[in-house]
Amino acid sequence: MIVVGVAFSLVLALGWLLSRQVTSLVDTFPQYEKNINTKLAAFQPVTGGFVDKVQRIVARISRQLDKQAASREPQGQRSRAPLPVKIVEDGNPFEYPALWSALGPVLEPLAMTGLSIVLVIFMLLRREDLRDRVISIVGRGRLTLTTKALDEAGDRISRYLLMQLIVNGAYGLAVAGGLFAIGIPYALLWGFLATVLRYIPYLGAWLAAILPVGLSLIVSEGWSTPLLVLGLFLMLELVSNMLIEPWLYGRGIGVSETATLIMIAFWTWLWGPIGLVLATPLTVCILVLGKYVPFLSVLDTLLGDQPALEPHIVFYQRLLARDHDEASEIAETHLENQALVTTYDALLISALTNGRRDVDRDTLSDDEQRGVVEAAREVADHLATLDENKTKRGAESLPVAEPPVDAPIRILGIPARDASDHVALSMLSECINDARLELSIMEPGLLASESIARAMDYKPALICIGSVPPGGGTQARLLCMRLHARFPELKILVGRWGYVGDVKRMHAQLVAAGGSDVATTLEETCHQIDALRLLLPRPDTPGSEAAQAVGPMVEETSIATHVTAL
Amino acid sequence: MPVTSNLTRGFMILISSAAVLWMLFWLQAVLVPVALAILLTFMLSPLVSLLQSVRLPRARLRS
Repeated sequence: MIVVGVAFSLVLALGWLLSRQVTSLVDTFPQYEKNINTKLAAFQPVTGGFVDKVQRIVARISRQLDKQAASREPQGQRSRAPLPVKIVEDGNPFEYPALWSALGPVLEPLAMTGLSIVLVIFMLLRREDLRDRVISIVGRGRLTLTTKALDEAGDRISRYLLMQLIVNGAYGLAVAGGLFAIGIPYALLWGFLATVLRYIPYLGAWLAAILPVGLSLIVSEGWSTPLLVLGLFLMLELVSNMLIEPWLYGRGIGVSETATLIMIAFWTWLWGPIGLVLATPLTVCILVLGKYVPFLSVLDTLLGDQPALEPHIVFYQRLLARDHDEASEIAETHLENQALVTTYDALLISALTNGRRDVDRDTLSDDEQRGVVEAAREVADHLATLDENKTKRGAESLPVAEPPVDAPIRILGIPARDASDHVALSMLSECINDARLELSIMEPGLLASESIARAMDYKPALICIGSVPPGGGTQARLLCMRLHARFPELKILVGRWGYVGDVKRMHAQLVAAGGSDVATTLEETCHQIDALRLLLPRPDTPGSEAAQAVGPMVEETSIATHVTAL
Repeated sequence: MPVTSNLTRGFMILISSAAVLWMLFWLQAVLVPVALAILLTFMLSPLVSLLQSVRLPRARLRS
């Protein structure tokens, strides 16, 4: 009661002060009559210029048209034209409808204000009770969800109101100070008005500027003062919009700028000027509702300031749209905060799996999928170059490590099916950042027997089968079985990168087929290789499986980790 | 079948949205003061909590 009493007394007192100031302003108005006349005189040449000429032409044409119309009418018809007859009944002008029409426009806002005040008093007195009732109605059986939704809505609206109070208060103070310095009378009044009107989003500040600018036109003799006042408002609005609000709001209220504007237009259309004030809090409530009520989730997407699509979906969408530049930008942004392998897993592997899924659904042709795979390969190369440069820059300050003396451990990458698997293995080779490891990748689409023959030639210490889902599981299992049967001692890693589903079952199947380990991300495969690294035999180690393998060695380069199409 | 169900769903959403819009407009005289009161309650709540924290009791409503 005290709070409501004090708050509304304050509002009434300020209203009274405002009306006094306005009355005083009206009383002093005759003093500035000379200034007004001077300003109006300044517009005289304009009224006698172009506009005046146009007005005169329009008037002349309309007179001419009237004359022509009058001449076409027969003389008798003109004289017999019926005159409109208006029946006026005797009646009491103070009867109920007339009274209502006179007082209605005044009473309606008054009644609304009164009802609001009473409601505020009761709501403040029974806050907890009201909250419990809302939870009881909405949240029976969904207590956690309702509590979270109420808390979030309350938190966001409170934050919005607090920030508004701080920003608008500071704005009002600055306006009052600035106007006082310029020499505009009743600066305090305009400052207060600016504080109040700024609660109206976007328009409020300019509505608040109208009266001070108008007054400056009246009280000043020249044009410099009105321009100074306009400049003051412009400067304050820019400072508050571009510096103070972003700094203070920080996390914001979670509503996107565009949605705020649209919702302001909507609520103003629906409820009039009061809708302008209520638009933002109501939008916040709708947004929170959309976040917690599943069938209203579309509202959260439409109104929220969170990205509508996850980065990996945007990346894939850009690849589909053949916008490789934007796709690269998305990947580069991701790489700025994440490791190369994480970026590959999050964006590129996801794009490869999505491409394959869309082919299965017949929404993407084979040619289009090839385009996506090639684009993914290009982006992967680009990211690898960027990452290499970054690493070089970071390592410049460190002492240069000596190159390894021993021959590198050979790893053979075998794509289970097609180019997607090959690109994924290429990404793996970029991620193996160890000079003692050498990964060579076979071309895709070979038969299992051909793969075995190539493995015999290459004499690897480890085989890594790459298979990007969906599909490809059968091929990976078949390869595992054939390779394990031929090289029972050889470690075989299977990468089912991007696999979502029953991982345990898939793992068990591949291990049963002869795989040593299975990974669902490139990062996991890198860790597995790293863990196996010390146990793997080198090509020159006597008695090792690699040394026992028959046939010539494949072409090698001095680069430790490289990609070779065998 | 899914096309028909999607159409029905879309139609239902359209009808519901129109009904909500009409209700919002028709109940304007009631909803506006309530919304305004809720907003003002949010504004004044911290003050009430502050006064309560300095052990100023809340007024009692006669039931």
